[in-house]
Amino acid sequence: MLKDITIGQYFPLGSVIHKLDPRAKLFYTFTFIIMVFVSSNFISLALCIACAVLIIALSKVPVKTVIKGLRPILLIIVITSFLQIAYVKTGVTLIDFWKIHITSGGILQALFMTLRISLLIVMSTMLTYTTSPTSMTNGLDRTFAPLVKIGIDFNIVTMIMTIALRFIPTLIEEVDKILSAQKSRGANFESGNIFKRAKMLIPLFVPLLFSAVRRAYELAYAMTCRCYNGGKGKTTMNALKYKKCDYLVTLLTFAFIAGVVVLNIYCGEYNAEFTFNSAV
Amino acid sequence: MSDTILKFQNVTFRYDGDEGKILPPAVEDLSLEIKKGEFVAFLGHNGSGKSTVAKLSNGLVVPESGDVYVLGMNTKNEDDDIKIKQTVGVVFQNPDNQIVATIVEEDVAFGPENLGIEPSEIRRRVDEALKVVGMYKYRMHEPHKLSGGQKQRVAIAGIIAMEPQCIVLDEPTAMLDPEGRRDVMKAMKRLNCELGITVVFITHYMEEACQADRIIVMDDSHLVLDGTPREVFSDVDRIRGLGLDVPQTCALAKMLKDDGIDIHGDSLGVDELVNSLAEILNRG
Amino acid sequence: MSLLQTENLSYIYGEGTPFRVTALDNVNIEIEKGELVAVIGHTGSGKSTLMQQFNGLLKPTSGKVLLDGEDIHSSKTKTLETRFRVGLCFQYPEYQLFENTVYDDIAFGPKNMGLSKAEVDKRVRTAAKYVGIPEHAFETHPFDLSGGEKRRVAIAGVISMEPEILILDEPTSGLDPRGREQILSLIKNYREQTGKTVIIVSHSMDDVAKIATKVIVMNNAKVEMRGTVDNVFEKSDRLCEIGLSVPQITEVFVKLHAMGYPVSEKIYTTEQGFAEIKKLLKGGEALA
Repeated sequence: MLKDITIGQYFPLGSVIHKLDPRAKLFYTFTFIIMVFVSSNFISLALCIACAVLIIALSKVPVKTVIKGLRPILLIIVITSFLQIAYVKTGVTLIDFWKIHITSGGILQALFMTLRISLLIVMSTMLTYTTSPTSMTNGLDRTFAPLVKIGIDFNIVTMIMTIALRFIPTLIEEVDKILSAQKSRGANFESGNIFKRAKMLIPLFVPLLFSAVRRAYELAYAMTCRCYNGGKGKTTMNALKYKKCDYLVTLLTFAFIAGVVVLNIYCGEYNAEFTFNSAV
Repeated sequence: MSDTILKFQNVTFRYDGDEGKILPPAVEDLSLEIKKGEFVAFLGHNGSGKSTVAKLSNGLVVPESGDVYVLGMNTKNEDDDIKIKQTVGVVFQNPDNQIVATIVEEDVAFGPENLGIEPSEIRRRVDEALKVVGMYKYRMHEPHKLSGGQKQRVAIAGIIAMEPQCIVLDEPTAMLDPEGRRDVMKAMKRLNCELGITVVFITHYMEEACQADRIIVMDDSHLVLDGTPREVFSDVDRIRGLGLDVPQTCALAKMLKDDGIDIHGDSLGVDELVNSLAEILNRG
Repeated sequence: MSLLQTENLSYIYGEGTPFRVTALDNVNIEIEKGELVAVIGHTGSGKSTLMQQFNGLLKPTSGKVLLDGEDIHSSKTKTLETRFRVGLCFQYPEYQLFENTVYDDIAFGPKNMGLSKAEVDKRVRTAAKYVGIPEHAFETHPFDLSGGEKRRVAIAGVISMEPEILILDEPTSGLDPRGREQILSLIKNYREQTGKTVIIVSHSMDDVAKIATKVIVMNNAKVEMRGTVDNVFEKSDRLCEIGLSVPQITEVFVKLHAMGYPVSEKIYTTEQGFAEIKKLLKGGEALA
């Protein structure tokens, strides 16, 4: 059933990470993504990995689920790795057979890229796994609220996000119902060539569109009745509050930035030959 | 004037037709007054102009001619817009299309938040509003998982949290099952009795209309009857002629009366008819 | 053999997910040819799910649905055939209208059945007649009609498939008393003229009392009661407990009966009530 789809892939597990202020989570996720790209050697990257592992462990999200999240980008990882191995010719030659010429530099470069991409995906999915859509919207709203001073009103964006989240289940239910109704009149949505199928979508989309427009009108009236005026002078009942652990996490995030920068400088630019030789 | 909350003065309104077509008025030359604390039912068949009255009552639409006053404020005056909407809240038929947020209590908070009220005060109002409509224990639920009657009560709480003096409900029970209807009626009565809020509701169900202090009947864009349920339902033929039902109890009393049986009262409710029937049976 | 029958029918939504809900639990019912069956129950009692089982839109989790004694899921063609033989008209069917003219919308079902143009035309005209849509309205855009008219066009869209069983889910919801009356009388006429089986799903007991020949009450995924209107309305207390209501007039007579007056409890229209009181008064006079 369409109804069973969960939006935003949120896992309500109630861990320490789940309870953090969404702004703290947005901040460390954003910082992490930048730091993964800033990391210029394996040692800095190792620090990133350590942080990611720590967050996953604290969040109680099953490791299996986290790894599953990487499946959609598997192809991208394979292709980039292949290209790295094929074109990077630095370091010690490992295999030189017929036209295949693989060097240690290529392998390491491929590994480096794979780690970077995976970390990126893992950390962004961790954000949605541990933050409910409502909490996320609140966090974004609060984070970007100051932008109103420079003329960017983020309130409208969060309102749109909230309404979308609110109405997606309703519209999914509606699609379900229209499909059943038209099937009852003999409509066949599953077979036929592409033209036939496209044509069969009319009995679904016309009623759906009309219903969405009608809902939009009624919602606009209802919002007007509740004094909505674009969010000017709006207050929030559940105002987000930075707690001790949120400050701690933010502090740790800064420490993490410092750590990556120091390791970058101390261990130098990532160099395939150097790294390989020292590894051996 | 001071105890009048809502006043329509010779109001005419028409919707815009497609391609500049001129439609007949949805409401024509309507004059009425609603007093503070009243519990009023609006009756009339579909297209009689009842829903338009709801939209006119807090300035969602403004009259083409004539005026609507909320506590003496003209709804045409845009400066008073927020104050008018805060005084008269409107609840619509389809609860699905009135709920804005993804959590019940956040939806109820939407109105007060827009009014810029202090967070602690919003919290108090939200809790209270949810308790009045009997939805407090569902405050952390997702609206789309609630039943129709529950959603409608959340929508009512969303209006109550703005602390209006009057609430207008446009067929709030039309899409609900009997249980949902009973719960919504109960909530509406509590608002009226316990919080002293003026309640104006539109309905097709005569049993619901009977519970009001006053019934206003619309037909063909005009007000045709205005009185207590007893007065309005006494004219059974007139009500039927307007395409409406009479409560079964009134209909039976009327049939007996027409047959020359001396039955007392108008037998509005079940208990009333039981008593009057018991009386004639004892006599008989 | 019954026309439509369920055998230990159970249905579970979202099996294997945390959202698992039992919508039908071991339901056994029989519906005979020519009956007008009312299926009543509060929202979520399983009545709408049952209707979708009847025309094969949903497949039983366990148990069977038999049409003329044959399992409707015995083959894919059989299931498709069932959709046409058991016509299902959903709640608020006017929201499923999509064609540019009334005629085309009514013709959608028959066209999908692969009928000849002449046959489709014949069926559209017959169906329109049953629901009282005049032929001069055929070229109108459905969205230009009133709410009640739209509903009738949508019902015609199912009738035009000439199903052996017509199922209507809450056909009167959201309509005013006049609209409700129209729909009920058209259903009654349709059944009388065609002799076909009709199933109405409703929570409005007043409507049911007027026209049904048999009532099935659903509660919590199970069949709670079944029988004639009399049998079911007798248990008015139980009906209220499961979130339904009996007609006001029934309440009056049940109360009078409880007070010791010799009135029947099986009264659910004002006409019956009138006759009952008259009878008693006459009897009283005779005694005196």
